Amino acid sequence: MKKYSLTFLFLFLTVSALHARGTYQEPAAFLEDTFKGNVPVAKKIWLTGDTGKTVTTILQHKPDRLRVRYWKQEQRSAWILEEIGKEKPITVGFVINNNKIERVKVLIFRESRGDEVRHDFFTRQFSEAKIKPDTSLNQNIDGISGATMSVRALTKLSRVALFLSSKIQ
Amino acid sequence: MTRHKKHGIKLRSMYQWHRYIGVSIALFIIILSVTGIMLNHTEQLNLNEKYVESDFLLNHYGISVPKKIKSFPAAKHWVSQWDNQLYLNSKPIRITDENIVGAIFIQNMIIIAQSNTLYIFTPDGELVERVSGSDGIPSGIEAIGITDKNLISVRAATGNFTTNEDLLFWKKSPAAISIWSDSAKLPKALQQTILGLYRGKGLSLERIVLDLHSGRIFGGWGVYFMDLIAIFMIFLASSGTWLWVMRYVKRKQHEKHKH
Repeated sequence: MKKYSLTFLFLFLTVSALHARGTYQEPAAFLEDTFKGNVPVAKKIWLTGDTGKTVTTILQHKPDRLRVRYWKQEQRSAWILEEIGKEKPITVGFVINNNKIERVKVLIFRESRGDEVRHDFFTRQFSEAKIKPDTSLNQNIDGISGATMSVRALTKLSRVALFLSSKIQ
Repeated sequence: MTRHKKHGIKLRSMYQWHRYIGVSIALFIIILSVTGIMLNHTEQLNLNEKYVESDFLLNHYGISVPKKIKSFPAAKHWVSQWDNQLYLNSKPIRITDENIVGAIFIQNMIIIAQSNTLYIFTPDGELVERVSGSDGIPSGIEAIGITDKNLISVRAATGNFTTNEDLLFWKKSPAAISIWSDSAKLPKALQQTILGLYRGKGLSLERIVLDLHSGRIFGGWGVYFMDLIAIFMIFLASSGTWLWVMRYVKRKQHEKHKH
């Protein structure tokens, strides 16, 4: 009986881990969705100088690239950013409208745990969030037990998206 | 045979066993002792920070040179892929599962192409950007090159395309004249340096000492062999004590008879 319980537990954990990983929306589809099929030409912002320093402070490590692409149409901009949760990068799409977060969407989740951050009940918390002068968010984001690292990664990325968006206004 | 004689033979036989076993396993006792002392002082000896470079040992542990090394010259730089590790010159720059199809040097940047991804690196090996299908690059890239008008060109599944160094606008250019990045053999000195880096960090001295101590270095049976040596050591300790006690008792008895 004990043997079967252990086998069941092992299978359950394996299936859960596999279930957590996945592409929930292709980045191209996210952009199509955001700009209603009329995706503007991508622009770039360099993460060097003061911009790079602030991004480093937010991420608490040097960004893994020197240049980030964004798509801007009037006051709205879309950002596709990546940050490691625990071991692997999480790809997240952000829509910033007039310096406020309009939408957060987890596009690709590669970690084995902590995928709860992809659900609307969590990402909705970022809606209307703004960045304060000290680069923190102006509203509190509730954590999820068992997904602390993923929550932290998404919160950092939302600050980066808001900060970079403020630089291109 | 008298009891005294029987006892003498037993003692002599035990002494012989003690001696033969002792001589036979002396070398292994030394190995166990020396490796044991080394393992007790791993940190002081920095065993976990020293790496083995011996080809024999690395091959024994299956840390061998990848069968396929893909390398491309990009101006005075070299981009190479050793299994899933990408190197720019001798600097490890990225781990990737996909094979590289070419590399070029343009506008002081190095662009590395994979089937569906382009990486832009500075000559120092810092990633500037990773661009994939969602960023509008053609899919199924087979080759990357530079046109006679100094544009980046790719040969993809759907034809030839060109773009500038920003990789923002891709234009179908079937007539563009390109010099395609072609693979070439790494210079010997660079290959040796990367080989050292690739394998050097694969096997620490601590692992060798640990496996020598446990016998695992000789495979699965090595562990049982070292177990046997340990049993013999227990036997030597017991037989040595027993022989000493017997001799002591015998001497005492002899002295008693004398008086």
